[in-house]
Amino acid sequence: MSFLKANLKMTLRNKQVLFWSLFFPIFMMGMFGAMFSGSSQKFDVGIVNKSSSKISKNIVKALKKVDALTITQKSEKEEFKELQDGNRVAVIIIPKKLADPKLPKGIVPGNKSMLNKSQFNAQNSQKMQLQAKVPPMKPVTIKFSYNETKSQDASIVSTIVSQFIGKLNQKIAKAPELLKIKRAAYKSKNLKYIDFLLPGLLAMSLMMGGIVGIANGITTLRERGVLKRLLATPLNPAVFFIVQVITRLTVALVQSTIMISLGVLAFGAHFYGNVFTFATVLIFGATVFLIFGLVMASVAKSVETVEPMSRAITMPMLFLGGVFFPIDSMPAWLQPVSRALPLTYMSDALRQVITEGASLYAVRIDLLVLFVWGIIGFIIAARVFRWE
Amino acid sequence: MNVIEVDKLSKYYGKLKAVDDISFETKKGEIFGILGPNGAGKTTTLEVLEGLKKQSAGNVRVLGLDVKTQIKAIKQRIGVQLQSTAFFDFLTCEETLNLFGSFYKESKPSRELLDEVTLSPKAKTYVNNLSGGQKQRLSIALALVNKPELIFLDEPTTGLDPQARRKLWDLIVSIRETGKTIVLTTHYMEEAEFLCDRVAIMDEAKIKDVDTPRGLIRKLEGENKVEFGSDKKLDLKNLEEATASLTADYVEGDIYSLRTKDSHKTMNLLLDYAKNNKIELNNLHVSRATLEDVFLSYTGKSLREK
Repeated sequence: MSFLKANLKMTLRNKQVLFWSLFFPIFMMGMFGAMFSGSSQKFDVGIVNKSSSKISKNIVKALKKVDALTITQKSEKEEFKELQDGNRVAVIIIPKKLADPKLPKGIVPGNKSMLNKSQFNAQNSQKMQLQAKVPPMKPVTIKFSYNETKSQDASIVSTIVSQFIGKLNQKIAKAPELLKIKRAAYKSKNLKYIDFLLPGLLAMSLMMGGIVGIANGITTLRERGVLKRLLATPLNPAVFFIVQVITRLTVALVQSTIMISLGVLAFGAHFYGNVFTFATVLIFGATVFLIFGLVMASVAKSVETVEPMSRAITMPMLFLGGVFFPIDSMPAWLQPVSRALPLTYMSDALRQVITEGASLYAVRIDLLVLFVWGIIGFIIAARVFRWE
Repeated sequence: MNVIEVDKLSKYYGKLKAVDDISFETKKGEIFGILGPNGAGKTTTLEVLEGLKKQSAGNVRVLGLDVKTQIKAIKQRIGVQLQSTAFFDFLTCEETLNLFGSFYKESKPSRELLDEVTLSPKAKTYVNNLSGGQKQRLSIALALVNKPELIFLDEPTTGLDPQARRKLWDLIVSIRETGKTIVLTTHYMEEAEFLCDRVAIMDEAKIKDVDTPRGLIRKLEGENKVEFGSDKKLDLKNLEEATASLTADYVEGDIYSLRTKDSHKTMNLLLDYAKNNKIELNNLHVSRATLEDVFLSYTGKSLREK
């Protein structure tokens, strides 16, 4: 017990451990979060409403409710100036012509709004009629001007607006469907990159902390002769390992709590998992990586060799283990490699638990693979571990 | 009563014999030294006694217990200092002592231990910030943490400056005064001569002799050494033959040393040798044998040469 206390103390005083297990993952999260937030979060869209109709007001109101869009309403001139200055992804102009449809009962109204896309460039603005289907009634064109340099963002916005207008047409045609739009918006919020990234980063930092932390720590102790000195005391060697594992797991739990809080509070990630299920998966996976660290410490001859060795193991896993992008998006020949790595299953299990609220039973395959890896590691470590 | 009984102990690493068929005893309350150059097998011998290594052959009893079968009980009652002073990083002296104390059934308060090794002002200092001598004193305090009856010190003063070494010697003597038995290894003659009640001379995996420092020197009764400086480099083999000495040895700088039973004869032969070879001798003198010479006579080599 006092060994555990002392070991925790040592770990907390070791700034290197704290850096790699806490600040590094947070830094990674901040970096990736910021890098991808541009395409998955908010778009600045200007709306110039020239119509005074009820329906145009409703359009603006509804668009404002779309989470992904930040709507501003200035004069046409001002909005185009902003567009030119690069402060808007797109500017939508609702023409005067748009009038409230008079709905004769039973008759489908044909007052369809058409989306007219036009490129807007700093030098020359050109308009381009995209669609000119002839509706039963005269269509009203909503002009959509976008920033050519942000064409990717603009196409996302255009899709959102198109979908929206499509819904609107339906609404005009049939019953109000505003609820549906709300739901659609909610769904897109669910698919943020950070929700994919957070469990992956968590798995990554558990792996790094486990493998690098234990491997370096124990190799250093052995090289300096501390292990040998411990062996000269009546201390049970098993106690030494148990203390190491509990210390690291404590660090892992604190680390995960901080990372998840930060991910949820600062980056808008979601945590749908059951806390106990999550903690179980976490401790299970972290222990497997700790065993890997022990294998490294057993195989390595010195501190100089243990570092490159653990890097050689962790780095490929980092990129192939489904931390930053889904395995399905990798080349087909690489996918079997990924499916053999323990990190793949760790990040998958954490992801399922965190974003889908999966139960232990649902991630049993992941846990089983991790368990097999853990057993393999344990057998190797038990066979080759040396005290000096 | 014997605290340690070593009977025909051997330790092999493959074909290499690290310890080859050695036997000795250590008596209660004495400081027993194992003297020898690096690689003689001193540390391996200690590590078998401490239970860190298993012997290849022979019987070893420590405190009346067999190291093969009762090592757990032995570890409770012995204090150990290893050659490399190894501590955990990020712990203070006091915390280190508390931690190691917790491994034993019975332990001494850290404050008392620090007092004993005069490290009290450093109680709250991180071990990495200690000087070499302070680290050695802390590791001796660590060896005392379980109030052991028997203490093993492996080259406790290696790498220390003369002042720190002196301080450590005083500490070791004061520990003996509390009735504990101490076994230490060293390759310093003067250390063995100053500290040890009995000395085992070890070289090339074998123990050459065990006796008190005085007893060992007495065995060389009548043996003297002739020392001199020379302006030319001399061939030791030639010198040895020309002066009819037991051994001719190069000490340091340009000082040579001849061991002889008949200093008168050797002196005369040396003067002839110098005249014939046109060598200018200086600082020529005859002195009594020391433990260093004992070692030389057993092993044919100087400790300082290593």
